[in-house]
Amino acid sequence: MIHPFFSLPARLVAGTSLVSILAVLPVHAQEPGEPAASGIEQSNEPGGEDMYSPQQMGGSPEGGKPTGGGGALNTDPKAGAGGETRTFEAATPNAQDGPSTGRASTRWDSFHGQLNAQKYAPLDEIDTQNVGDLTKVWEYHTGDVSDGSGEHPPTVWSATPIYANETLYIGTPFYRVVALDPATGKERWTFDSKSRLEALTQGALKNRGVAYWEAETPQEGEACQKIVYLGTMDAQLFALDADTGERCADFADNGVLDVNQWNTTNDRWPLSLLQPPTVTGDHLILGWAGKDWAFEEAPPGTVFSLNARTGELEWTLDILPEDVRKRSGTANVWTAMSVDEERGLVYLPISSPSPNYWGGNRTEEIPLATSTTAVDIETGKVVWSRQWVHHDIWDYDINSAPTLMDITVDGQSIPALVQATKMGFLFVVDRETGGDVWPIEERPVPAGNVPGEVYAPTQPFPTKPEPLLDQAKKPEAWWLADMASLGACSRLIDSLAYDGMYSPPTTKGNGVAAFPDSAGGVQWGGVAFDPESQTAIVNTSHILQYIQLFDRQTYDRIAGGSGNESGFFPQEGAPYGMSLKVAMNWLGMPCWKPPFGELVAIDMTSGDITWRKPLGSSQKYGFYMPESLGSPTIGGPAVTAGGLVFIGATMDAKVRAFSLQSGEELWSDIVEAPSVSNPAVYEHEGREYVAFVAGGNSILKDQVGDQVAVYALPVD
Amino acid sequence: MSSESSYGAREGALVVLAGGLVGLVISIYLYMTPLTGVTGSLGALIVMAASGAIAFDGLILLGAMTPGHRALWLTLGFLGALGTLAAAYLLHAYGLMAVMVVVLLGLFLVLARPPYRT
Repeated sequence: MIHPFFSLPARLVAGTSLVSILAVLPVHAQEPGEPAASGIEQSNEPGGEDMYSPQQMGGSPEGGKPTGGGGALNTDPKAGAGGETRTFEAATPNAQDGPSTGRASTRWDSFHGQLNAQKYAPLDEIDTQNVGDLTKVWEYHTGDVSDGSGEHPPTVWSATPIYANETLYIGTPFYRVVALDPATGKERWTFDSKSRLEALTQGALKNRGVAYWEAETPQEGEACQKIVYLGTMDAQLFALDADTGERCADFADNGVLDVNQWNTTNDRWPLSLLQPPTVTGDHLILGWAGKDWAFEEAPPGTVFSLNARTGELEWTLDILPEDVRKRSGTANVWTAMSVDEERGLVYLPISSPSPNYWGGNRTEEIPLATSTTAVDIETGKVVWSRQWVHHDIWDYDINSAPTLMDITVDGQSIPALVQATKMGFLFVVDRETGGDVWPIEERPVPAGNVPGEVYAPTQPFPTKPEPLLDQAKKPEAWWLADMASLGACSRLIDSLAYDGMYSPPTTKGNGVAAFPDSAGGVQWGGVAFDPESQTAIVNTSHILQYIQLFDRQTYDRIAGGSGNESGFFPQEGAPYGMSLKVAMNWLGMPCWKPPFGELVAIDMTSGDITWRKPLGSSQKYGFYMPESLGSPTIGGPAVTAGGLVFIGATMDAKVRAFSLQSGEELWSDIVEAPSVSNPAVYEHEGREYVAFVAGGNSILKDQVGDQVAVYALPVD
Repeated sequence: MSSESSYGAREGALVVLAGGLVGLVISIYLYMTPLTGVTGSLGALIVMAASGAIAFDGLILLGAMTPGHRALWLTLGFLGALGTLAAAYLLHAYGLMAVMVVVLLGLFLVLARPPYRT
């Protein structure tokens, strides 16, 4: 599934910049703790009563069969009244070495640093007192960059550098791997997959890095005891010796696995491997990405477990019920996963089914769609699942790995996970059972009237933490944008339907407002967590979008072009095409009130927000907007034992350090392009380093880069 | 008095000219140098052009002209300097901002010391 970003029109802030020359901009930061009630009415009524059938689960060869042939709603009292937890046969604990649960780990050898996705480094050489002295100690340019003006599509580079085997490994959007000396940036080896540099499923060449595995007891002198994995857009998975960069001969076909061999239903595009596999024990857990909004029928979501040494398929989890797969599709896992190795569970953030904005072809329950699903690592069986959006018709893919954390609530230690979402909700559940930590209520939501559609009567709403943005009412027009457009912003917003969160897409008027939609509250950077203070850190975007459906005849008549996830999209095969736009005025100024992006800290012992601050500056044509307005964000944070939060993510291509305790900005630097990934924090030969990849994302800003920028304190 | 005023006006015009040239150098640096935050940006190009125009304005103000022309070039100079100041603020080009403040002082000097009796 394609990335869930909104298309930020090229003129996002250009007009704002010009107008701002003439006007003093006000500060509109959202106050901490501002109430943000959601939904149209509160209710404790339970949601759907669906139960799984073995056929629905579709695990193969054995995976996914629910307990008792049907699975059951969780009866754990910790599950909220409306918490729709589907519980399955418990996984056998499978304790292994390495990072697993809520505990701190010194590793930074996976996409989110650790398998628990905490993005936490227990390193304190760099702290709040000396971070101002941080200097760039080396940078490396891969050369793998394109702005789309030449022979290649533009690049989008969201890789997190992997520190393992005393080496820094990085995948590139030209599907190469570079292995660097972590202290100097000197090349150790490079590997070129010679993959087709074509935008087969995405609008850009995309890569989110590589994965790393090593044998429990590596044999000296034997190749491929340590392996680096690289996926490509054309569905090839490469396995390389981590010491030499040579292909591992014992892995699949001489070091490369054709994952597209399993693309057997609605094979409209390859199963793009943009997200590196999740490595746990000797397993590679593999999802894939596709192409959204284009077709009604698309490849149905699957998750594969492979043997890390050989590439042999161990199990497959089919996300969609068997009878739905052919006429729908996707509900895949295109982002990172998290793992609790002690409990033997991998947590899957699952996306929405196709087509994304009309569900008349999939009116039955699809229990695992738009969910967090816990799966037994060894068997592929679903242990529990929480669906966060019922009958998703907003493309609210679950787009980041849930963050595993042990928290103390009311004096009780809870093995929890936090699932961030595009909706701006943070769902907190017990990761053993899927039961609520704080009540998650099923509340009635608005229904629509599009022929052929069905509407879920309720949706889950967390009671704590409060939503990261206030979706309860339609956003107000920003006075400056409204003035500059002679009231066009007010007229646009007034013309949009909105009856609260989950107002459904419509054919009427200018469509329905969504705050946000695919732009997301939170993107794939996910939630970072400091286990010492039990503080969660997350960046969020406040974006007003609007969705309109068109019957096929009208769509064919009026459909214009589409940008990078903004404009017209056919949903070919469905009775409705659609448009998705960001609410802008003629100057490209955001029509809604700022802030446009924030960094938020949450006390996970109480669920209360500790602080929230506008994050970064919007920037266009070089002009920076005041930081009090914030910036849309793509990418995520990392936290350290030094009491720091490191993050890029903003339009202004700056990387920053904040105080974990207060949110005060303590350090920043400019990098080549927006750093749309999570930073990596590692210790090498006794020195702490912070590494950012500055690759850019054309959706956020027309600025691409190929820079790896690494910072450390000066050596005395 | 006329002589003193002319002398002050010429000094002011020289300040404008010099400020425009320094602004041009800073703008070129901002545009050309990697990692200035505005490298290769349209905004940097705009202040580059504006700085050049301010230097040209200072050059024009150095010469003799009718009161009407002088008022015109002074007005253009103020608009250019204020606009460039605002643009520099939004570009986070604080050095350029300082230079534009100096240019404004030069323009005030020209304004305060008219070379012609009124």
